[in-house]
Amino acid sequence: MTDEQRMALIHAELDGELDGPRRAELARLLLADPPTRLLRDQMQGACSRLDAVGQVEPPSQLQDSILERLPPAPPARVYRASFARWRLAALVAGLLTATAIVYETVQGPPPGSRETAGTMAADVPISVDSAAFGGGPVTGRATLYRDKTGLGIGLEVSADEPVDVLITTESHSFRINGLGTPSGAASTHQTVALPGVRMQGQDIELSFLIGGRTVVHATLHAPSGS
Amino acid sequence: MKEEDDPTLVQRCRAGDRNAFERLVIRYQKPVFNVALRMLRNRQDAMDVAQTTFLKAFEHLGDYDGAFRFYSWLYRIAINESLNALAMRKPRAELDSGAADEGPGPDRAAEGDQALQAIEDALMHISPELRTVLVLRHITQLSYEDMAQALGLPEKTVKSRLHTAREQLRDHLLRSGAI
Repeated sequence: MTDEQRMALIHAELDGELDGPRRAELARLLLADPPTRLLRDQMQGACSRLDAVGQVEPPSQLQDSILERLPPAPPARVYRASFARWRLAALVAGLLTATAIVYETVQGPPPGSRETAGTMAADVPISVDSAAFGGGPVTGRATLYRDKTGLGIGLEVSADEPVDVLITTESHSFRINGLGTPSGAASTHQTVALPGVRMQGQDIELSFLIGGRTVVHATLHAPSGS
Repeated sequence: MKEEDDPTLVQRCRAGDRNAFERLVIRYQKPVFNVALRMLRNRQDAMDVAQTTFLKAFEHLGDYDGAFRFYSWLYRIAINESLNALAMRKPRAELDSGAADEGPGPDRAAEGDQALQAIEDALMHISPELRTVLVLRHITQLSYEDMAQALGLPEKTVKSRLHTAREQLRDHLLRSGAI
């Protein structure tokens, strides 16, 4: 056995990676070769001393010093990425509109109202799930709905301070800033489209923030299919 | 209350939730501080590195690839910041424990025995690259896979470096009579 093979066995033992046959091989080697036994004991001693160092508690002011220095805004790249997505969505919407106009021009006038009556139901938003939230400085209700354009969320929010809402799914994030009613007299209604979010059996998490801190959560469920 | 996992917290951070980032700070401040402390052997420098690590993580969260574990990415920043801090030091300061460490902190006094002193001395005599693998493996208890992610190296290379580092550690401890 070479020195390299001998050391590999010793390191494998230190890592707890020895299987039965190799453990037996090492045991035989240690019995037959005192220098190898000494080397192995020294390696074990060195590593066990290092393991024993463990972790000390960080200074108590570390957490505050980090949080105090965090920029007030979320990471800029995320905003840029979101903005880019919205620009892309707007571009696609514009192209679709232009295509529809060209199509309609080529195809001639639309059919009479009687012919389209059977498709009108798709225009009406259908409620998929809803959740009430509250108990803190923010109260209200969130409703997940589906219409012909896709999924969206209707928010009814009462709060004494401006509220930001984060909507997160497995693949998308949306943010609405400044909801709420400073006077506290009435609730605010807001509808948010969720472009790209599909009915695929996923949870949609809503976090309501005041001053950058989450004050309440709500979860809506978009079942799969239909 | 159910503790949210890292990907969920990261997703919320990316959407601008500072509260979620605070949770990540609470979760990882101790191991990140300890990585820096064992790399630098100085509490104040380690605190500065830990602070910079989290601020950079927040700043570059948009660059984080969710295919990797969040803590591996965080340790990678901590290691790079520690190496930068070491590079800024005068060469002598690293080897001279008295100059590198501004004195024992409360935990150090509690820990303060000769075995710890010997290990710290030995670590500071090992090159920063090899010290990195010792710290990640034996102080933060990372797996080879996580170490490979944190260091951006193949597992085989990480293993090879760790073997060399352990052997150098043994040599230094032998020379100092610690083992």
